[in-house]
Amino acid sequence: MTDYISEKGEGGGGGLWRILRDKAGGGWLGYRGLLAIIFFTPQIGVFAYWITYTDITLGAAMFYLTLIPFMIALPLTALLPGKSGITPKTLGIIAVMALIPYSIYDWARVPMNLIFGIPFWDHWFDWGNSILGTTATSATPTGTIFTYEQLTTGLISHIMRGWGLGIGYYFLVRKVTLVSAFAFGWAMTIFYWIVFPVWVLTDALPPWIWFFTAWESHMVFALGLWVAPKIFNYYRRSY
Amino acid sequence: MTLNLYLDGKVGIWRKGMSSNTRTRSRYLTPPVIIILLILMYIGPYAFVYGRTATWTFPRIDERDFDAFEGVEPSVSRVANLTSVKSVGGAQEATYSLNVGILDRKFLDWIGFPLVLEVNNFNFTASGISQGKIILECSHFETAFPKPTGSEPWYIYQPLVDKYDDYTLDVSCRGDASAIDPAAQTMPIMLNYSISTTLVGDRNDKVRSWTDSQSTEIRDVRSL
Repeated sequence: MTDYISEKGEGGGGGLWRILRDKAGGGWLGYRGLLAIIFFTPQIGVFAYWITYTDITLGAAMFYLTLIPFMIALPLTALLPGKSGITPKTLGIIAVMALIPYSIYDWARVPMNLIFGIPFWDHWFDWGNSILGTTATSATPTGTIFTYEQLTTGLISHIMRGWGLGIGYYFLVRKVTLVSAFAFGWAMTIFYWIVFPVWVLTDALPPWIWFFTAWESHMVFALGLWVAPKIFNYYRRSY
Repeated sequence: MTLNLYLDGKVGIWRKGMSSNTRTRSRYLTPPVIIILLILMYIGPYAFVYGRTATWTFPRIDERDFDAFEGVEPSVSRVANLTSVKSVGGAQEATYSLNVGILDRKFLDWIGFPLVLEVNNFNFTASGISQGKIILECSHFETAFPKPTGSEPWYIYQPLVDKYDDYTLDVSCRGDASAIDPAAQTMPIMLNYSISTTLVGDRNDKVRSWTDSQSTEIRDVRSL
């Protein structure tokens, strides 16, 4: 039996306090919170890019707020308490499960593009451009951002965020429940609803369908968070 | 209760309730099949994105770019203001100000977002003729017309789009002052002009040129 988030290492107190902290250093104020933040850093990077109205490039933001924290954090995992229950295997299981939520999140946006014409990859060009920079070449004399290179780079940064958010969630919760998954989904939706109209120019003053799409896709993300451990455990036990 | 024990219980209840058909079906869903399905599920949206980019995004951008290129119009004022007369090397040189530019730069991009068409290498040349004599000549080069960067907050961006939709600038023209009647406040001339500029859209660029003639009036504004 593999327990992807062990209860080992807990101790002291209960309820909310146990969520925040336990004697072995777990909890949101301990290694769980720290690991979650580390995996949220791709999102933190893009947030810095947004709120500065892209004055800080996404490449710079992710260098300082994603890459450097990861470089520091990885060696520090050696200091994880022995009873923490966070092992390489645990991390691997969480990483595999976290592929599902953002994958079906993107699937949920496909019909919105086909029905309403709302693309979900428009910002990928911007992100790719902000990371790679745009220079005019013989292939792209206008220095356009609309190239497959920019799209691919933006896609990778999109995946890093979605995957990281999923991994972060699994670190934060001791037990995956529908309530916590949808609370996480709602938090992401509200964040999206506020940040994009205020800071992200190309989605300013969006129509209602934009808000609906943002809500619907994050709810599907939440569903993915909830269902991924079930799929994993079912097939792990079956075979 | 650990998550795993919790899930084990749920899964157990679920499996007990499964029919024999479901059990048979699950035998076909072996790990390799599941892995293949998961991979397909995983790459599906991105395959869709690349497919749609090739068949929808890029063609749509190209269509809107070229519509925008065809939608712009040159603007040349029908009034050339005489701003000064100076003595240069024994001759009287008149200086004129003529307002020229490009109109209707605003267009909607592939997602329906308002943009301002980039205008680069704007080259304007003109000569004003009256009764067979050249009254004025103009030659002006502008590297780039202003436009919003796209990084502004919306409340700043939107007015800039409207502001730069029709953008004109005053170019300086010169001519022999002896060719004009110093007593007349206004004087009609025929202005022959040529404009060439590089228009840059989201993904494309195009050099557009206009050559035309129009009646223009010289107005003496030195006393104003």
